[in-house]
Amino acid sequence: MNQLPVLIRREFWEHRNTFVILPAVTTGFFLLMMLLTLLVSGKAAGDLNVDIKVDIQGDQDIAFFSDSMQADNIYAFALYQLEGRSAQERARYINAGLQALGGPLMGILWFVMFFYLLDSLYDERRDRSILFWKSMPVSDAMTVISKLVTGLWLLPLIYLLGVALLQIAAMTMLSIATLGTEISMWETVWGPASIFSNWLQYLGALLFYSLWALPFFGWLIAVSAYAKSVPLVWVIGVPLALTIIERVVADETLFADWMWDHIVPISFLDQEQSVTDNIWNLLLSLQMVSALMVGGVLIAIAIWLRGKADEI
Amino acid sequence: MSEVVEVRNVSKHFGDFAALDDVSFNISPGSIVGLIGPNGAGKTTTLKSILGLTDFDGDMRVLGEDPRSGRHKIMERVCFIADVGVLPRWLRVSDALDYIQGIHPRFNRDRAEFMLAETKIPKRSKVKELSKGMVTQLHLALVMAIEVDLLVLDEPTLGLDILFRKAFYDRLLNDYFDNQTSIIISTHQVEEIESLLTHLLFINGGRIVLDCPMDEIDEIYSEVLVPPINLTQANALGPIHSRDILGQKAMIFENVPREELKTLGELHAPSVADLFVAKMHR
Repeated sequence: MNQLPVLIRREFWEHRNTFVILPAVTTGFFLLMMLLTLLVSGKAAGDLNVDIKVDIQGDQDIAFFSDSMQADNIYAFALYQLEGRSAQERARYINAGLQALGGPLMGILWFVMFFYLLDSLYDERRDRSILFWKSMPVSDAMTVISKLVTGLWLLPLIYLLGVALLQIAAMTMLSIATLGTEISMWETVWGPASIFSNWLQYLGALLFYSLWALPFFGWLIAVSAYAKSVPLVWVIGVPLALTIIERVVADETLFADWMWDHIVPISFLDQEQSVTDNIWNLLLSLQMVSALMVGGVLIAIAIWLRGKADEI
Repeated sequence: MSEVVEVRNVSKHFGDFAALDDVSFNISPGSIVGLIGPNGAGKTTTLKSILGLTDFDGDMRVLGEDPRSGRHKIMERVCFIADVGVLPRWLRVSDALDYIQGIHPRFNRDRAEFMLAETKIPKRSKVKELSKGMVTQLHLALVMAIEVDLLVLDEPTLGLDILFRKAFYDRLLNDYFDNQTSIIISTHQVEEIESLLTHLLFINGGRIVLDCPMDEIDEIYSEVLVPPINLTQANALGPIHSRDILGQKAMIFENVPREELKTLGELHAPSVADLFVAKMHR
């Protein structure tokens, strides 16, 4: 009897708000904003051109044609920015833009994953429902695995779906903005955008992070199984204390660097390389092996603690 | 057939406090065992140990498994209803059915649906929207649709009104119990389950103070209404408990031949409640 599907469904019943409603509302909000910027400024476009000025803040990479560009709306503005550039530059800008669209959803995702795993084995002890869950023929290992699969792989997929929707919407808006202009929809918008490989990159990066940060996720779920109260204090307090102790006692940051590398997303990336190159380089590194080992041990501890766990 | 539960020298300590102190007993197939004791006597700890929900020292076999390592295997053949509110509040009734169907090889969904249909529980509602009595009804309906060898009930009717309590035990006995299943019930409301039981276990201060089949109770224990003139004679036989009733003494004796007691006064079998009080005072 394969229990995993129904165990995962159970996680979704419990966390419908943060797994489904929150990404749906966030995506919906941004879609609405996109539509509004198109409609509102489009209506006024007749006489009143919106004057968009962009500060160039020292970032050489994105140098806008900023000489008080006149545009109907933000999409038209973006189009003018793209039109005058080489195909290569166009591709780079449009893909950077698509990637940036995912920012808010990815930020929320991180916090949802964090609190989901942190509460996963704590809430059931606090509300005593552990007595019900443990009276069912489901092993502790299966329980922990179902929570990890849900949190590390399925949850990001849902948020990624939101990102994909936003990207498609943005592309559609840009396409609409080309109507009635000289600008070619294909050459300026759809041609240079590599939307599928963008999704693959996102997918790859999320999968990579789920393995790279396994010590972090393992730590979250182990604390969740252990803490008798306020797991948040444990989860933040211990790494912080270890960092300080290492600094004071050994005047070193070796362990701390390793630890924070596997906690904070993106911090481990070498800025000189593309994200994809980074991932390929790190995937087979010794540090990745160490991360998987530490993560595995922490997950095993969580399973063992779940076996001993009782109501609190 | 071997015992359903074998408990040998089981202890459990919380710091210096012994919640269970060298406890041993068996549960035979087809028996209904009442685990009876005051608050804090170790009832819940005993039941949780059987279920693998808590750690302990000593030796225990439940359906041949050590509950400390084989909890999830045991739970295929054991069901558990705890005192109140262990069903998660966010769970929908229909989802609870889906869940158990998805993980339990011995769950009969039609049976659960049938039993729910006899209650006023709406299938779309969440546990937090149900009354306390309904939550117990729901849990019972879920559990009774699982074919098991042992049913563990920890104060299942605590906090429910008398109508619910009676209906609960009627249902349990009529629709569930079939001589194949064993049941262990903990309670301190002895009177309500007295007629159900085939075996008595009294527990006090973490120790088993009585372990006796119901049909042997009146062979071992007798209650005598002793008039004042026979008091000295009665006390000489060593009653384990005595209380005043309308100017006479109701005395409970353990292992004293009936022939000797008959001469002292009116003789009958003690109620479980009186026996319980007698044993607790020792």
